[in-house]
Amino acid sequence: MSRTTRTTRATGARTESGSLAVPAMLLAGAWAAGGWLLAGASRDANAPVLQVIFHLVAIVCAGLFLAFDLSARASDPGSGLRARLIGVFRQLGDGDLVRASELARTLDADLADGVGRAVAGLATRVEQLQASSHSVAGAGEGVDRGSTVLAASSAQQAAAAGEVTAAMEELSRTAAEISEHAERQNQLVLTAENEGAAGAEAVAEAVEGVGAVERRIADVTARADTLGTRSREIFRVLDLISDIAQETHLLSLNAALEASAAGGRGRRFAVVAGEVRILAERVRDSVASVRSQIEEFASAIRSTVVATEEGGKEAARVLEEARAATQALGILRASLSESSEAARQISSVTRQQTSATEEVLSTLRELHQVVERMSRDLAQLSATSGRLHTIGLDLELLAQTFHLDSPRSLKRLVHDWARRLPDAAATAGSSWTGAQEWIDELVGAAAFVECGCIVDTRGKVIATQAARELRASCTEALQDLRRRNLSDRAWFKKALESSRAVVTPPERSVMSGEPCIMVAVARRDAAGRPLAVVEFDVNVRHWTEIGE
Amino acid sequence: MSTTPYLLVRLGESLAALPASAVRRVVRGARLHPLPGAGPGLVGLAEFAGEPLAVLDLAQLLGKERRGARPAVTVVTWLGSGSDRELVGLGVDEAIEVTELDASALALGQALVGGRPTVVVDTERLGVEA
Amino acid sequence: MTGGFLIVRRGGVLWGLPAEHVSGIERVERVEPAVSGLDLLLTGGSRLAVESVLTLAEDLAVQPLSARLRRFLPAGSSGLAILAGEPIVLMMREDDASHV
Repeated sequence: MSRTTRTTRATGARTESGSLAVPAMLLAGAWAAGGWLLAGASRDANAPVLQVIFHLVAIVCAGLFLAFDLSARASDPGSGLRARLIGVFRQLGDGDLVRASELARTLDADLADGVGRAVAGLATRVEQLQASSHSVAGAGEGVDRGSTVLAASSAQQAAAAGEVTAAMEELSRTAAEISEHAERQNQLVLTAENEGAAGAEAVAEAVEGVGAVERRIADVTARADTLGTRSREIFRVLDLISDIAQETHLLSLNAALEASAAGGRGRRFAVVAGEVRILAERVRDSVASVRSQIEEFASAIRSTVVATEEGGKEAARVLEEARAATQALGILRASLSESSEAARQISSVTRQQTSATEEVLSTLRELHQVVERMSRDLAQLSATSGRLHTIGLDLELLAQTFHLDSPRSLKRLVHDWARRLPDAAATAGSSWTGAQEWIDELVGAAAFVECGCIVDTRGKVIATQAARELRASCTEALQDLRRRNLSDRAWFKKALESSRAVVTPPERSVMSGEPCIMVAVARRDAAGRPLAVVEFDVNVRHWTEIGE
Repeated sequence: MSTTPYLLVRLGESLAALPASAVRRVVRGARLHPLPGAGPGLVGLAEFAGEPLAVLDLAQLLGKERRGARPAVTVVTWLGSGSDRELVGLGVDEAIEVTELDASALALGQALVGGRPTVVVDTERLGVEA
Repeated sequence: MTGGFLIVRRGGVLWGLPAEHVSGIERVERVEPAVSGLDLLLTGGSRLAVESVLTLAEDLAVQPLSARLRRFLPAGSSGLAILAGEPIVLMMREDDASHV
């Protein structure tokens, strides 16, 4: 926020050049316009920074303009006024607005009013600068805290997402394994099924074959029976023939006997009887031969029948075994079929599982990427907040170079400390009684002060104290400090040289080792001779608490 | 050398020759009625040409051991001579053939027929105790 | 009985006894051997167990046993005959019956 301010008013005629009114109005107009434009800008962390910068630039321009314009007037006689005016600007140039204000009051009424307002205006700007720097720092801290929280939660989220991802990947792998396993199982079952089917087929073929064999056996047996019957018939016929042959034989014998009884006349008859006998014998031999062949044949048939019956029994046994095998195969195939079915179901379910898992994994990966981007963004945000912090600090340090009549002005504070140093203690050659109580009180009253000390003009530490919370941990350092000679310190030398307070850029503190800015001023006597140097450290960490 | 016809018969493993002139008929399957109380030489009683016929076991008469079944063939033979001649059945296993043997065979009481020793039976004296 | 022969069956074989030697025929039940049959009462006082009596044959052509055959036939046999194709052993003397 900015206020539109008219810092210079052309209240009356300026006689010499008469040109002040117009440029002053132009400048004021430009400043007002700019400030008003910035007021319309959106609120973000950079707005105060921009405003601050704008105001700084405006201040510098105003200062330059005034310096340029008034330096022209400085050639005027009336050097007492001129000298006072120069003095005011010198103080302004050194940043000591308190002195500048004091000197301005010594000017002529009109000048005093105008310059006084200008100085007051500057002081106000600087205070606004400080306020803005605090806002910047606050914003930075807010961003910091927010981004820390976000970073923590996003880290948690990332971790949780990572765990879920890992679990899901594990699940996915397991499901894939199960699926693979089920697939292999399925393959095995399919193979077994095929072989079972082939086996069943083979058995069925065997059964069929055995059935065919059995039929043939029955066929053979029937034929053998027929043959047996025929053989028996043949044997009967042979018996008949045999009987006839025997009878014929006897006939021939008797005929031969008759023939022999008949003597010579029976000789031809005897021959015929002999031939009949021979015929009968041939018939007998043939019959014997046929009989033996039939016997052989019948025996062969019987063996065949026996073998066939054996074969039949064997075939029946094989058939029985085949039927048992078929039954067993049937059971096996049924259970295989069940197993196959189960494997297929498992396979299907795990495939579904896998695809569902894949979806989840995909989502998680996206989430992970989002979280990673967020982490990066947060990191950048952190860096940005860090920069804001640094900018804030820089602005604060810049503001602190001004001596203002403000509770936030460190220079004012150190002047105040120096003033409150008891006179008794301040007298040259005194024993510095009360200095320790004085420093204790002052350090205790300012929470942002890390430690303070009072040093004599030779650099010897007279009294020193640390902030309450540091006293326990820094006892040794304090004691060490008390024995020290600080004449080589920059702030010490500067403070002795000048009547102004000194604020150093951040340095490492001997007390805590942390970056601190040192504020120092020399307490002088009425003649302006330095009596001692009063100094305190402000830890950079606590800079936003300055003046609270 | 003159020969005489003989009927060759088989008795178990051995051969015997009966003079053809003494053999009336060779018969097979005659119905034999065994006589209990008769000697071992009698196979049984049969009928031949309306007359009773006593059938004797030739093997036993010749002093050979009888083995196996009853004789299957009956050779109806004149035993003895002259008025003493009677028709008796001689039981043999097989009647083989009528063959010519040397006239001296009878006196010898044996001959070789086909290389095989054959008893030549004297039917006139057969069955009579010496 | 006078003349002819009484033809009986005994031991599966036909026997002929002179009729005058037989005084009677009795039916008998025997325990040992378990054969029921007939007893011929012989004039000598002995009995002859027979299975059956066939007939009294008056005109039998008797063929007397030769000395040769007598050796082979049971003692007391005196001749052979035929009746209806079946051979008969004849016993001539009364006291021969006991040898049957």
